[in-house]
Amino acid sequence: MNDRSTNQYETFRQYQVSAKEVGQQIFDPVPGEEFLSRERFPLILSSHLSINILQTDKKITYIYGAYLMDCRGILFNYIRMLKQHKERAVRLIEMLDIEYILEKE
Amino acid sequence: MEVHHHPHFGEKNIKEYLLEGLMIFLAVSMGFLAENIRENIQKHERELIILLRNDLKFDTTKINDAIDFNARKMYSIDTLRKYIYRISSEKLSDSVKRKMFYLYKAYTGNVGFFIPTMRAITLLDKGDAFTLIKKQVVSDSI
Repeated sequence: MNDRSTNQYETFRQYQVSAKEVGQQIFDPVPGEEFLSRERFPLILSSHLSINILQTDKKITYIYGAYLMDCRGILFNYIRMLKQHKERAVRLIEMLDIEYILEKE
Repeated sequence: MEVHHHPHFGEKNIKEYLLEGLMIFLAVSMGFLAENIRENIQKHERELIILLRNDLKFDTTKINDAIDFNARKMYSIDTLRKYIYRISSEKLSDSVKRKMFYLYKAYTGNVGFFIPTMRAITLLDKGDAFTLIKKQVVSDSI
C-alpha cells in the first residue's frame, strides 16, 4: 500500500510542480506581508487586499486549468484508494474482533 | 486340575521406587512446560493481534482525515479552475480574486498523504513473528 501511495504522491507532486510554475505566472506570489503566516492567511478572504492577476492570456490560463485538472485526477484516485484501504481495515478489525473476541479490550 | 501360577514379584528396592517417582515427576513437568509454552505463544499471538487492531483503528482515523482533507482540496481545485477559465474573458471582482488567490495558495500545495502505522507490521515482518498467528483465515487476511 505504501508503494502505491508513494506513487500517487509522486505523480501528484510532478503535476503540482508544473501547476505551480504556471500558477506563478498568473498570481502575484506575495500580495501582502500581513497574511504570510499560516494562521493569518485565511483572513485574506475578509480583507480588502487587492490581488494582481499577472497573466490573463487565455492559453496560459487554460494550461494552468489543465494542470489543475491533472492534480484533481490524482487526488480523485488517491481518495478512492484510501476508501478501499479503509474498507479493508474495517473488515480486518471486525474479523480480529470476532476471531479473538476482542470487543472489550 | 488347573493350577494358577502367580508370577512372583520380588520386592522393589528403593532405587526402583526413586526411578518411578522421577519418571512421574519428569512426565508431569514436561506436560506443565508444554502447557506453559502453549499459553505463552497464545499470549504473544493475542498481544500482537491487539497491537495490530489498535494500529488499524488508528489508521482508519488517519484515513478519514486524509480523505476529508483531499476531498476538500479537490473541491477547492474545482472552484479555482472554474474561476481560472473566466480570467481571460471577464473582469473579476476583488473578492473573487482574493478567493482565487486563497485557493491557489491553500489548496494547490501538498496532497494529504496517509502514512500507515507500522508497529504491528514491523513486528510481523521480523523473524518468525508471523507464525505466531495460528488462525489461517486471519493470517491470510493480514
